[in-house]
Amino acid sequence: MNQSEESGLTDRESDRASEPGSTPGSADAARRRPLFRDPFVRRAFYFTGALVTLFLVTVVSALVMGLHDPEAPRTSAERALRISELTAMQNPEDSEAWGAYLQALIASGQLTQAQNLIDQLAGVVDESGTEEVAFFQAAVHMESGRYEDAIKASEELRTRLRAYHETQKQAADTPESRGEPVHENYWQALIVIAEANVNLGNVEAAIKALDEFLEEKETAADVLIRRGYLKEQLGDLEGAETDFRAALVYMPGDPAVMEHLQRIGAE
Amino acid sequence: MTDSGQDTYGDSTSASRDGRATRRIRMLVVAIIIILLLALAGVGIMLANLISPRSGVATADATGGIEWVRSIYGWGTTPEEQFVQPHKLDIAEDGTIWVTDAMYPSRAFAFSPEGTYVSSVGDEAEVPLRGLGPIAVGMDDRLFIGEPMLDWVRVFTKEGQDLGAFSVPNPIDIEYARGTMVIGSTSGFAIIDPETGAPRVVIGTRGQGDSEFDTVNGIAIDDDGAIYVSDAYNNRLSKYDAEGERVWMVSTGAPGNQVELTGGTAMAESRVTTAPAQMQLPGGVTIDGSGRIVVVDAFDFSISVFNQDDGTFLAKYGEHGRLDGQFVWPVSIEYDPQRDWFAVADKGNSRVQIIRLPGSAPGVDVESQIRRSLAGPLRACVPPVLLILLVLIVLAVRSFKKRKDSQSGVAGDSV
Repeated sequence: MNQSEESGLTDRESDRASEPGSTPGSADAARRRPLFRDPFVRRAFYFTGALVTLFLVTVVSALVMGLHDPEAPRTSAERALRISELTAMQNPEDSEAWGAYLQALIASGQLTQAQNLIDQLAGVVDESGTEEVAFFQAAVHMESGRYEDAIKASEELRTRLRAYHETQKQAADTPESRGEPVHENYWQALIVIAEANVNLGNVEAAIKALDEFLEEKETAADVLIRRGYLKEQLGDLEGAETDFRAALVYMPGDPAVMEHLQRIGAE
Repeated sequence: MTDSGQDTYGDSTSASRDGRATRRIRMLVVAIIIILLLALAGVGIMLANLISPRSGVATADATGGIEWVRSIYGWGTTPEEQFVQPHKLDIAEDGTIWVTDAMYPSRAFAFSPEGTYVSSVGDEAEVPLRGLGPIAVGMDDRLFIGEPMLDWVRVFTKEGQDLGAFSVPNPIDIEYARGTMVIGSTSGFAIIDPETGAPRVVIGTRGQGDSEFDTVNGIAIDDDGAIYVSDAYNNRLSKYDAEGERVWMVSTGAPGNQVELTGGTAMAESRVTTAPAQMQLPGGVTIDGSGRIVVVDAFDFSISVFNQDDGTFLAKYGEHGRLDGQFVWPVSIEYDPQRDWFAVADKGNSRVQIIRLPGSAPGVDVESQIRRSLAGPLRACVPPVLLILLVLIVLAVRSFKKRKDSQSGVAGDSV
């Protein structure tokens, strides 16, 4: 015997009894019954149960069909992350390996993990590793939208790298004393400074940073294009054209550069 | 006020209180359901993101019109278990992708359509293989793997059981479809008896003439048994009928074997071509679901599409680069008709890419969309949909039975 039968009411009657605004007698009957006897609640319960069941069936189906193999990288970013992590773990003394891992973390947008790793590495790596880590710290600031911090970190890095280079140059029998140039990150930090300034709306400061970069690396066609584009934004079309044409020397006929030139009416 | 009036007043107050309580409970239930739905949606989106690889390339511009699905990088998690130079590949009827790697010359690797490593053939101790090249999977589950340096084709079961070998000079590409086996080499191609390995028809000699070949790098066979071959250094694409008679031949670019190395711009001058495809080095060939001939170009980092009937150039897709969907020296390509996608051995990027091209699907658009969807993570939704259908059927049957019973009850009463 079910509860409806016990109470002497059919399901339909009990449903009607628990409707808001129903007659006083039927309301009393409804009050005496458990919550689940309310047809609305009961239907809601069935609906929710069905949804959860369907969801679980979908998840189990995905697992059974092997739609996801957590071990196998599927994208270039996943592969770079997986391999660089393993390589860094296998070579804990190698700052370049850690650098590659940090780069992969930043490229895949895992900035919190990158920051944690930077914090861990700060007290562990040697001097050259510290400079590497400092560069990635600037990159993490940049990617996190902390542009002022990115500029500050990049400036500090450049000061340290320059000082280190000068010291090594004075020392006997060092690569720097034999003419090795300042570390590449010294120049890459300029790119970070330029892009951070662009994001802060300081286009002139960005151009200044790229000027310094191009003084040393005048064949960097992509940086020439970038500076040309920034000059165009400032209305310096002549300067923009000069940069685009300089880029064409190293990228003859490049469609993107031609498009830039066409846009400023200089083709 | 009478007693009965007081009672009525009391009852109506109580009913109103009950009504409010019921409404409160219902609102609570609705709120719980909404929270649950949001939680389910959140978990669902998270799982979908986990299952669907997110590409580093957002727009079709960056991939030259290619829709990237996923990549396969290796058969394990360690750096030593990653592809170095995936070279040739084939797709079995069940969607399994078989790959050989030029830098791992003693093994051929099998992956599920989802990109999970399944198995490999070749074992240094038991089944030594040397310098693996082309690979073909038959409908009869046999694997044919060419060893160009040893001038033969090895035959295996998918489980790796060695079934023997037959001699073929310098096998560069193998195609085995619809009972026809064709093997390409530097000097042409041969239609082979797949049971004995004996050549039935041998076509071509090495050279630059119309009936000559200079490295048959890609072969495809259509439903009628017609054979399509790419001639890498002559930069040509040809169609032959099942008996080996040529149907058409088109130039796909400047021949790589006619470059004059005189220095300066002379080399560039000699490579001027009027061929609309402007290919550099045609490689693997396959036929898509709409019957188009699809040819991969290693040095143009692209895929060109041709008309099956006359070899007219139709379209070109692809961009050079290392991002998902871009190529560096793609060498071979195969089409999976069940999933409407292509597997491309992207040699310079050390990966096999699963991609889609516009217009490759067979049948009408809706059908192709369903086919594509079911090849992806949406496949997991099939069992719950079937479950819903099952429940609906059960409910319908019950309702029908109930109605029938009540009708027979009424009929009985009236009798």
